[in-house]
Amino acid sequence: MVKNTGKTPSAGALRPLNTPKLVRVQADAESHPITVVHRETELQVLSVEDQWCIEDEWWRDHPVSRSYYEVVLADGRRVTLYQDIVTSKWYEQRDG
Amino acid sequence: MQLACISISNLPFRVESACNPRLRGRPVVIVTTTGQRRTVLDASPLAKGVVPGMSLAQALSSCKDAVLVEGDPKSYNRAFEQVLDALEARGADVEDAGLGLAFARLNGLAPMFGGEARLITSLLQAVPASLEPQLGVADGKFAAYVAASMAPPGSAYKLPGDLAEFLAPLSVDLLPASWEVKRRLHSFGLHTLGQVGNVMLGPLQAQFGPTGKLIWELSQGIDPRLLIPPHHEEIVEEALTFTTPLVALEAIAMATDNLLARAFSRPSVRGRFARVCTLEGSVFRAPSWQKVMVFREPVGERRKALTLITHTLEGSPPPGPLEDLHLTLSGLTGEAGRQESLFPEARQQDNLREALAQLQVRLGAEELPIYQVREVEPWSRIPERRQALVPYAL
Repeated sequence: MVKNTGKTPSAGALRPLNTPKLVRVQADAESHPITVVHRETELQVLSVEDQWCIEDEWWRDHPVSRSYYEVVLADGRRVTLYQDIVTSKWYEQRDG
Repeated sequence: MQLACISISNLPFRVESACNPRLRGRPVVIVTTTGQRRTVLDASPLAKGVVPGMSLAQALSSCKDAVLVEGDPKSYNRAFEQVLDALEARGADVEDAGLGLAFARLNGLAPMFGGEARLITSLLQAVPASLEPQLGVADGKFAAYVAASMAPPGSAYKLPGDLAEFLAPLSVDLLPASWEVKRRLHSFGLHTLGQVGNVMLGPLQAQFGPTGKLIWELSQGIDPRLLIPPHHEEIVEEALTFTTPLVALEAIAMATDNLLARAFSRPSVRGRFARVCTLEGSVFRAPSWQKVMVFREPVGERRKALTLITHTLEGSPPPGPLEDLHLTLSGLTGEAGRQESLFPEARQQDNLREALAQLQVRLGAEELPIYQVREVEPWSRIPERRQALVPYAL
């Protein structure tokens, strides 16, 4: 990932879109998500609809290594989560 | 680059005493109000111990018998703008360096006036004698400023050739630096420009950053700063003076209609539209009044402008009887307020561009925080790399 310069974005700066948001996830022994805290509510994952991995930018200090899951939550919503393999943290992000 | 520095000290006091001669020879404190706070804008030389920026309470305790005058910044700015216009009318590039201070480039002007002495006399005459200007001539802004500070009121002084030698014994308090920088220079034992010039550049930069480099160069007689003439926006101005101050809104609306008719009938304005209208007026026995109106859409027709202005004035009328009325139209567009197109998509872009230009004028922002989604790396496997918000270009 390109390092954050720490500068306050001005009106003239390029702003990223679809940045991942940190989210709390409880996972099983195989790192599959079981529950997700979504908008301050803990929701059970009903099903994992899709799963894929991306491995990229291996040459950087912090390579991009993620396991994505497209899940259906207990309230019927479909969200895309991923676990950062390097840091083990979970994020929510739209795919596309 | 040979420059002239025109310095008018205590300009607010001089403008007030020109209007009210009874203030001359008395300690006068000119006060301005910001929110709840009343502070000193300017003070006459006889008001001992009173400096601009001081609170009114402090000023009164320093000078108990001071005459208090409510400041009128618009009239002071107008007086100084007239000085700048008069200097520019003499063919000089002029930089407005703050109320009461201006720089003018002299290169190439002397032959037009029949010599340097006549040029300097003409520049001095650009300033009303009541303002007692001091004019300094030298190579560079700082040296010209120092020369002006040494000139007697109403006259000029030209610095001799060797700037570094001339500047050496002068105090560091003359430097264009903050009060804190000057305090620190004194605390280091650097009281004169010569002492500053004898210090190595590196330590000064380490202590003061870019300011350190500048003050070192200025102390050596080197001034890298360029003259920056103002950017002139095309405006249209019309004015009326009333024999009896106007109070009724209907009368003010009629006067505004008259000014609009004159403004829109000018050949340079025909077929064009204005985004901003400014009304200013001198109020009887009160500070000047100003109202700036940014139209939602550029207006190219007198009746529509009058309707919008009258509606605004009904909501916020002038604070007192108006002795005169000045109308300024600015933000003038091209030949048409809207560029219509045969192609709907192009028309949509034109409408969007027009709306953004209007917003920019309304907000007074150099860059609008408006973005559009653009594909950056659509092929990327990392989702946040595929698109970005890009500032919308007008």
